[in-house]
Amino acid sequence: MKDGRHLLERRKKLAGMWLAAPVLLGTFLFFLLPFAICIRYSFTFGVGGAYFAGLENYKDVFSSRAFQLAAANTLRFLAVGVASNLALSFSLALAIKKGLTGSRFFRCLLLLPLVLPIASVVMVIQVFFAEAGILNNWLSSLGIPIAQWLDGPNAFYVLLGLYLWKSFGYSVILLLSGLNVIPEEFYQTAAMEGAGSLQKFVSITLPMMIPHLFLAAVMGVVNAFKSYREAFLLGGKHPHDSIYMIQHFLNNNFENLNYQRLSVAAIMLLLVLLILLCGLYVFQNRYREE
Amino acid sequence: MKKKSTLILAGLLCVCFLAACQPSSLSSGKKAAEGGKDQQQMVIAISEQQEEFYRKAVSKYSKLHPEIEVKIEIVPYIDNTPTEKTEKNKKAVQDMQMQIMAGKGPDVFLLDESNEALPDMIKSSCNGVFLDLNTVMDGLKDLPLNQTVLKAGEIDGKQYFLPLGYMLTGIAVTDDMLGDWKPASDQPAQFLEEAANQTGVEKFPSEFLLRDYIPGLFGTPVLDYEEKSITFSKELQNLTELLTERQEFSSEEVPELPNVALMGHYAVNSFETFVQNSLTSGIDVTFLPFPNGEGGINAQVNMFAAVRANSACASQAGEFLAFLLSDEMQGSTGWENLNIKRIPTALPVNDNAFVPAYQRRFDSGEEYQKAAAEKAEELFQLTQQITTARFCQYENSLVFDTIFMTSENSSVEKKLDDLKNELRFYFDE
Repeated sequence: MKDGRHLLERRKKLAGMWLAAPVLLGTFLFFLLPFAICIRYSFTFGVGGAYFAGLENYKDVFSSRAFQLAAANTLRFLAVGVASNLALSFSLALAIKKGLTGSRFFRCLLLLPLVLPIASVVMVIQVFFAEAGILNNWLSSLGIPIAQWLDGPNAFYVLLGLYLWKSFGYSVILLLSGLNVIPEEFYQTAAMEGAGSLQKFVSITLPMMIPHLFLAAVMGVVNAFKSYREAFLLGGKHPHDSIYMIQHFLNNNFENLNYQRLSVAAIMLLLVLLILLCGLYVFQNRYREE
Repeated sequence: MKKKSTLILAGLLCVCFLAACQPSSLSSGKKAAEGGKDQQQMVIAISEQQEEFYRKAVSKYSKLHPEIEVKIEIVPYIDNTPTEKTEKNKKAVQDMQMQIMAGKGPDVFLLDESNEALPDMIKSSCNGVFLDLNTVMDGLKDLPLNQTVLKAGEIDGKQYFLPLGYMLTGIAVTDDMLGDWKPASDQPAQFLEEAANQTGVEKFPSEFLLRDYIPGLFGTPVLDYEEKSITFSKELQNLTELLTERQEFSSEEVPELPNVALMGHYAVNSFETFVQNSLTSGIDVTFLPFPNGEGGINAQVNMFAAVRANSACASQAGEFLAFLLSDEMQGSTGWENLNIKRIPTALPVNDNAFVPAYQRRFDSGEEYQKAAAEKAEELFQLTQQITTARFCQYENSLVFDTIFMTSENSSVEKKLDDLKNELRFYFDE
């Protein structure tokens, strides 16, 4: 009997492995193997990685002004964007949960940014924020000096706004689903014990929402990287310094056939993302245990 | 069991990683054993517009060196018209670029100014794409080559690409227009205006030709790889503004000369055409080259060769390039037997070949042979006055696209500032 169960389990495992094999093979061929080649390129120089260069490429990239700017902008965008996205979407999710007027209408509206084609949205943004655009016309009619929205430091905030507009709705839906899962009895019991709103929020809502907040943060990070598409459409290959992201650096090095620099930057990006996501994961686990 | 399978998978991964870490296979060096022959294969990429001449040259070389099998790949000319052919050509060029960066692709590149495969040759050289030709060609500096032009292919003391031909820009005038006048300006914009005043014209009919070569007129590069700086000089800006202001002329309304002319170029307005006409008409024409802003003349390299850095046929490639630099191939004597319709138009970098090449180009009949020889000698002396030589294709295209291929109404200064801003990370990317 025991042997029979053991055999059945082995068969199930084997069947699972066979079913997963195509995906694993694809992952290996199209991700892991190219990444291994990428690591090799980062330590070599010349076509096809002909000459071993040690850490020269890393020194070259780290001392490059373009990389430093791109890395700083990307980290800044991630920190400000993801944090703002989480804060705003969590606030709205809480408000909708509490029965905000028109919340049904909001739920439909929230998903609208996801279905609109991004090129059309960017075109509207360009018309709105151009130097001779709608916003500057309004400002000048009010006697306020006009600003460089897309070709100046404000480009960062325009891009941030665009990112929040696009990702906000999805995060709200995600967090709302998490809030709906929290049993009402917890709040009722806490109320009977004399807990106030803030105490209920800190002791019940936040801990129960940690996994959902983690997921929303991860999706926020993914969407933040996708904002390169908007940055490229708004500013081209070399936009204003404030929105020159790591993807611009990668893309331009790819076009210039500088695979060595591209490889180093890609590896650095992976390491930073791994540290970030592992850090969030560890924080989530620890908070949940507590 | 779990640990075992994990270990096995990890082992497989390491093996694959190490396999991926092999030096890129030098595929072009593979020995094709056909019928017992031991042949090495060398792949040569040729610009489409030079195809006829180089195919014949390769065929001649192959007869002299049967131990090498030469395969030709054409780098297509991309004219940016929205057609299927253009898209196909762009894809072909992209594929070639990927192959090159993966360490495969052609061993030798024979390109001209229409080159789209590696448009920024100097940057590609700095990225280790090309071989230092001094390692496969002995005594380049001892050959009878125009050493100033040869230096155009030198970066950080290494000869990364070999100029095979070059061109000069100038103004063609007849002797009676010239009189005793000698140009005094050392800047191209002032020279253009001075020449127009001297010859009594408001503008030259073919001034638009200069738009494609603005940075190339100057001896100082716009993109300085040593200083890692980008400079659009005031003089360059002045010349660009001057050319922008001037309108094109219809050639039906004005005489052929005086006019802007290119020497060593296949353009309709090549100086060689004017000379051919002058030999039969008896009216001598003189070429006044544009000054380079440094008291001399700048040559623009428009035909060149390079060898891929990790090519397995490097030494054979060196021999082939030496063959292309020979008196025979650079001059006319080698061309006679090639039976080609369109002979190369670039000025030969081999000084010994210049006069024979130009005698052949000025071939207007037996009675004009002496005049043709004298003219060729006169032009050869002009080339000895070249003080700077540069590879300017990339800079020329940047300025041309920014100033003349945009619908923006802003000033030349603003456009150049925007271009400089666009290039601010050029040395970092």
